[in-house]
Parts: sequence; structure tokens; C-alpha cells
Amino acid sequence: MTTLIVICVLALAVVVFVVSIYNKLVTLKNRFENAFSQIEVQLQRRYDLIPNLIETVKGYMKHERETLEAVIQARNQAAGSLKTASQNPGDAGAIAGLAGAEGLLGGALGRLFALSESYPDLKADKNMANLQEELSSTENKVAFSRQAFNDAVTNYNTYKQTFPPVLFSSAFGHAEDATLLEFESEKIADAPKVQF
Amino acid sequence: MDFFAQQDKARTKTVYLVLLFCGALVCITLAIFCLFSLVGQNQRDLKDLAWTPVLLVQCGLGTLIVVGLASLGRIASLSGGGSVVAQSLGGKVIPPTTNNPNEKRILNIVEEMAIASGTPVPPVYLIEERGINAFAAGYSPNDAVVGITRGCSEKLNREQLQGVVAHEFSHILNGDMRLNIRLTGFIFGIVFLSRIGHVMMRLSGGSRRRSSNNKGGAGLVIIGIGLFAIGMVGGFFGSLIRAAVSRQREFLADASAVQFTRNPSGIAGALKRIGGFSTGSKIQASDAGDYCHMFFGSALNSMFATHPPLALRIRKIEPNWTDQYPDTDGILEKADPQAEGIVGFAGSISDSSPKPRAKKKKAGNKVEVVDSKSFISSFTGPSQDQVKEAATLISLIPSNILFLSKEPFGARCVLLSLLIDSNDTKFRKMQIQEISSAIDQSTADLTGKVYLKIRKLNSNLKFVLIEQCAAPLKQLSNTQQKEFTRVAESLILVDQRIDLFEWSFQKVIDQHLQSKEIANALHGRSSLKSRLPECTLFLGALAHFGKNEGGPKPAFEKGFRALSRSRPANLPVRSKCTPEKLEAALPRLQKMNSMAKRSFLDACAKTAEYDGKIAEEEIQILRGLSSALACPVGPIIRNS
Repeated sequence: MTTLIVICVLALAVVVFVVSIYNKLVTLKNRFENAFSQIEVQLQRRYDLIPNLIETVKGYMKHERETLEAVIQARNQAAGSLKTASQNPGDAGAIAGLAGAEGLLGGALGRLFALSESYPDLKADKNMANLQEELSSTENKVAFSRQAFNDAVTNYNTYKQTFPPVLFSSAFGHAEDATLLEFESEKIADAPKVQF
Repeated sequence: MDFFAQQDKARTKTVYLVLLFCGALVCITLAIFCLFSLVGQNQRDLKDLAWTPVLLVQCGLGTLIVVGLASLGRIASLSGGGSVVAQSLGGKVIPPTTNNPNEKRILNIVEEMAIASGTPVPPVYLIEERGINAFAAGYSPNDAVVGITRGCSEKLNREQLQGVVAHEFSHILNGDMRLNIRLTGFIFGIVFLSRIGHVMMRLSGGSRRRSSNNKGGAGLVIIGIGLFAIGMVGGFFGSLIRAAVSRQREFLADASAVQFTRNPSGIAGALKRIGGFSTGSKIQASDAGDYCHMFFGSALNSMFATHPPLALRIRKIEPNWTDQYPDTDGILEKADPQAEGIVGFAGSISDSSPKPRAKKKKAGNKVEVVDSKSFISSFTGPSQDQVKEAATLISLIPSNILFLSKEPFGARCVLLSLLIDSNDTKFRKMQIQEISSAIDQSTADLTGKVYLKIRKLNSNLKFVLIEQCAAPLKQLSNTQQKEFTRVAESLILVDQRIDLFEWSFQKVIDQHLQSKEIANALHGRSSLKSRLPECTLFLGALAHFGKNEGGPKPAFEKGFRALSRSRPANLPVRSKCTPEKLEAALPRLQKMNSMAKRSFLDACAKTAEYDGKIAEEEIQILRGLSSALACPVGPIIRNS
């Protein structure tokens, strides 16, 4: 009888322990997914601003259609990747796709701003100045929420790679490491710097 | 209704429940003892043990350990914070920058209610369900979330929504969520017995087939069936108790909602619309069963109803109701985008035309001394005046600053800008320099810009702004939070001293960010008498800083008399009432029991209100103090 009770208690203790690991994995995963929704809000805001930017710029830069179209195309592509990534922020491919698309968009925007340097009227436009400010402040917010996301991802990855969680993580559906979101190409991580 | 009394009541109730649960454990132990003895009588190796005290003790210990561990495990997994619950119900956070008028309206209502009751603004989750329902989840006001269904946002008008949100806030303030989580955990622990029984039945069923003449196997089956039955019966009665408790809390929350809004037609109207809706308040999500007690209307129909019948709830609010439900299916409420202050591109700090959010805008930010109506009312949950005042206060803050304070990056800059020294250019430069070197240039630039906009706000508004920033601040990662607290500290210390505002700023932020010691403060046991010197110090500080006509003495004595009539009131000298001394006194004050805290805060209010005016410094002391004691306090109402 005593042995039965001892076995029951031991089994129960193990169950409680494993359940706590499971819960912690879920909590950490939720945390980084939540952090991604922060990035999503800011990136979405940026994508919403770009059509306004193009609208403003179009009147001045009549001969730069190619550049403008490149920006629009990059913006649409990035918006698409964002949608895919927000479905599953833990998916390495989706995150890499978003990072690539963001890199392209950053490059296209950079070229647009560089070109705008040679249009004095455009530089004097108040609407343009507002949009610039808005874009660069959104850029700061993206960078900041990206840092929070990467911290949360690192936390999650570290936890599931340590012992004992490493024994259970794949059984509980946490096999894949989450991927850090880095915008390395074309320096999108910095705000586009355009002097007026 | 009184916040402290409710908290105390909730705690007493918890004690009853624990006693009830202990009783249940004794019954279960006896049942298991009888079960083992009955089975053991017929078996050789157990015969001597049957009906002996030794077996009784063993059964008791075993039950205690099994049920206790299972309960604790379940409670721990349910205490993961409100966001876990909201997500498992399929909720998505409404981004504060939303452009959907209906979503914006919910955010505004929640914000006003939070500021009126002095709790941090909780994140709001939208659940894509047609039923009209809402819930509050979380272990404490600090990790609470509010969830609203799509149906709720579209089928109710503003005053009805306000009633629903007030109902949910009553759950948050009364500590109902904690009570419910504990109950659910206990029930799970008891039902766990039946799971063990089930496993035993299946195990021995398998072994019996192999050796049909095994008497031990048969015993195991009987024990399994017995355990299964005991667990089930226990769980049944447990659920009945939980449902009964939950129904009482719903009535209380309805009553509080009327009290917060002084508008019975709001909550009654919401309930009627549920009654007249073909979908009612049903929630389809598969996890709804686990959380049904948290909802506004009953999520499921079952005999263990966690909510009283709709008609009964409506009649408690409106006794003359004629049993008429509106035809909700045809109703579609649309919020007015202008009135809810949808910010399009006006969010940029450089934008020169901020749209006023409320219809009436009052001038006069530079109020040095505010008249107070009644501060004590702040401790009894938000009053209707405070809910209105919250809306006015929010409208006094520049809208682009409000917009910034809704996401982490901006909120951090707003908070840092509150610490910028407004008197000395030299220190100001050093502070901006410090931000740019410790964080980065863009943060420093934005902080400088925000500072220019907020420097003229009075303390009351500054604390409203801090509450606004609290929720986004919690979204920072640990590293970012550490960086923030470090920079904030160095900004405070740049002039080598801590002033009162800086002190209370730290207290409020501490409560929002880590709140470990403040969580401990909830469970104090010490009496008021043993903490009289510390209380005296705070009253003295309030009296000295109060700028009362006729000196600090009468104000101090008025407060002190509320604490003790027998002892002599010795006003501490002014030089003793520094933020450092106040800080040193805090840990001992936090250990007081909640009724002592209430009397103490009442006394503080008496001193502060002595001449009918509350000075800036007094607001700062009261705010810092109430944060440190984990007692939410709403904004101080001005007579205007």
C-alpha cells in the first residue's frame, strides 16, 4: 500500500514538473508572437504611409517613374510578406522573407530620397516634410519593437535548448527554433537619413 | 462599495472556501479509507491494515498530497496572466493606433474607466464572435486584460458598452479573478482523483485478462471504480459551489457597474440586448467552458450556470422592467469617428493641428493648486464624477502626446521627458546628453520635443500620462526594461537629489514593472498602532507641503486624530520630511493589513484636504504612497 502511494506521488510530481515545462514553453512562445504583433502594427503603418508619399512626390518627380514604381512594388511585396509572417511568426522562412522584402523596400526608399535631393520644390513641400518625419519616427518604432521581438525570441530559443526542456520541446510541438528578425541589407535598420 | 472592504470580503470568502475545501478533503479521506478497508478485508496482505488508524493516516496523507499537488499545478497554469486566457480564446489585441471607430470606442471607454479607478490601462482583446459578451482575466490588476467580442462592439451603444466595461472593472478591482482561479484549481485537484481511478481501472483491466484468477487485480478495479466515483461526486459538488459563488459575484459586479457609471440604463440596456439577440452571449471557442465564469453573460448553457438568469439580473437593476427585449438582430451600432478621436496622420509630433478628443475643452493647464471635492471617494472605486473627470483629463493632454504614449517607443520617451529638469538648463542639457549616450540620438531628440509639450502640465495630468504609458511599457523586453529603469534613475540623479515628483514617479513605475515587493505588500498583517511613527512622518510631510493657511499644525492634527485619539500628536519637523526619509519608512508601511492601510490613507486624505485645496506636492506624495501600498487611487477631482 505504502509503495503504491509513494509511486503515485512520485508520478504526480513528475507530471507537475513536465506540465510546468510545457506551460513555460507556451508562455515564451506567446510572448514572442505578441512582440511580433507590435512590429506588425508599426510596419503596417509604414506601408500605409508610402502611397501618400508617392502621391506627394509624383507631382514633382515627373521623370522618375521607374524609381516610383520600384518603391510601390517593393512596398506591395513587403506588405505580402508581412501578412505571411504574421500568420506564423515562429516560421523561419516567413521571417527571412519579410527581412528580404524589407531590405528591398529600404533600398528603393533610399534611392527615392536620394533623388528627391535634386528637387528644391519638393524639399520645400510641407506635406513632404511631415511624411518624412512620420516615416523616420515609424522607423525608430520598428527598430525598437524589433529589438523586443528579438529578445523574446532569444529567450524562447535559450529556454528550449537547455536541459531538461530540451528533452520535451519537440514532443510538445516546439521543435523549430524561432528566427531573429534582422534587416541587414541596405541598412534599413537605420532611419533613412535625408537632410533638408 | 469600498475597495478595501471588498478585498477583505474576498479574502474572508477565500478563507471560508479553504475551510470548505478542507472539509471536503476530510470527507474524501474517509471515503477512501472505507474503500481501502473494504477491499483490504478480503485480501491477505492488507487484512491487518484494514480499519486501523495507520491506514487512515496514510489515506489522509496520500489524498492531501495528490489533491494538493494537482490543485497547485492547475492554479499555477491558470495564473499565467490574463493575456494567456485571452489568447486561448482566440483574442487579438486591439492596437491602440486602430482606425476602426468601433474598436477605438472600446479603447477609449476602457482607458477612461482605468484612469478613473487608478489602475493601469489594461490591454483590450477583440474576440471574433457574434455573441454579445466580454470578460476580464488576470491574477491582479497589474496583469489584467479585458476582452470584448465583435458582437459586443457592434450591437451595443456607448453607454451600454460603458456599463459592460464597468462590470468587468468591478471584477478586476474586487479580486474576483483570483478567487475563481483558486476555486477552479481546487476542483481540478478533486477531479484528478477520478482520473487516477480511471487509469487504475484500465491498468488492472489489462492485467486481469492475462491471469483471470488474480484477486489483487479485482481489488484494484474496485479501488479504481471507487476513486473514480469519489472524484466525480467531489467535482460535482465543487462545481456547484463555484457556480453559486460566481453568481453572487455577478450580482455584485452589476451593482458596481451602476455605481461606477451612475447610469442603470447602460448595463440594463446591455443585458436586454443580449436577451433580444438570437446568438445571445454564446461563445463558440472550444476553451470557453474553462473560462465561463469570467464572462459578462453566460457563455454556455448548463446546469452549473455561473451567471444568474438574465431576467433576474435586469430586474435587480430595473425593478419595473416589463419583460420586453429589443430586437437586437436588426441593430448595428456605429461609433462616431470624430467623437472617438481617430488620429490619422495627426500622430506625428510635428503636426500642428491636434484634434480635440472630447467635445468640450477646458483651458487652464497651469493650475497650481487644485480644489478637491473628496479624495476619500477615490478609495471606494471610481465614482461617476471620476469617470467623467478622466475623460476631461485625457482631453487636456495634447493628443499627439497621447498618441505617442500608446506604443513602447513613444511611451518610453514620454516617461523620460517627465523626468527632464524644468528649472535648470545645465541639468537639462546633461540629461539629454545622458539619453543620447545611453540609448540613442533619436530617442533623445524625441524626448526633448515631448518635454516642450508636457512641461506645463500639472501633476494630476502627469500621473494620468504615466498610467497611459504603463501598458506599452510592459511590452518592452526584459533587457529594454532594465535599460529604461537604469536611464530613468540616472536622469533622476543628475542633480544629485530626488525630489517628490521623482520619488513618486519611481514608485508608480516600480508598481507597473516589477511589483514583486508590492505583491508582498498585499499580504500585510501588521496593525496600525505598530506603524504609527511611519504614518506620522507621511502626515507631517503632507502637512508641510500642503501650503495651508495657518501653518501645517492644524492639518496634521486633523489627519492624526483619525489615526489615534489617545496619543499626543507631535508634528515632525520639516527637515525630516524628505523623500529619502519617506522612502525609508515605506517597507514597514507596506506590511500593514489592508484595513490599517485604509485608515492610514483616509488620514492622509484628511490632512491633504484640510484647507479644501490639494497642492502639487500633496498629489505627488499621495500618488507615490498609494502605488507603493498597491491601493489604486483615481485622479483628484477639481471643482470647476
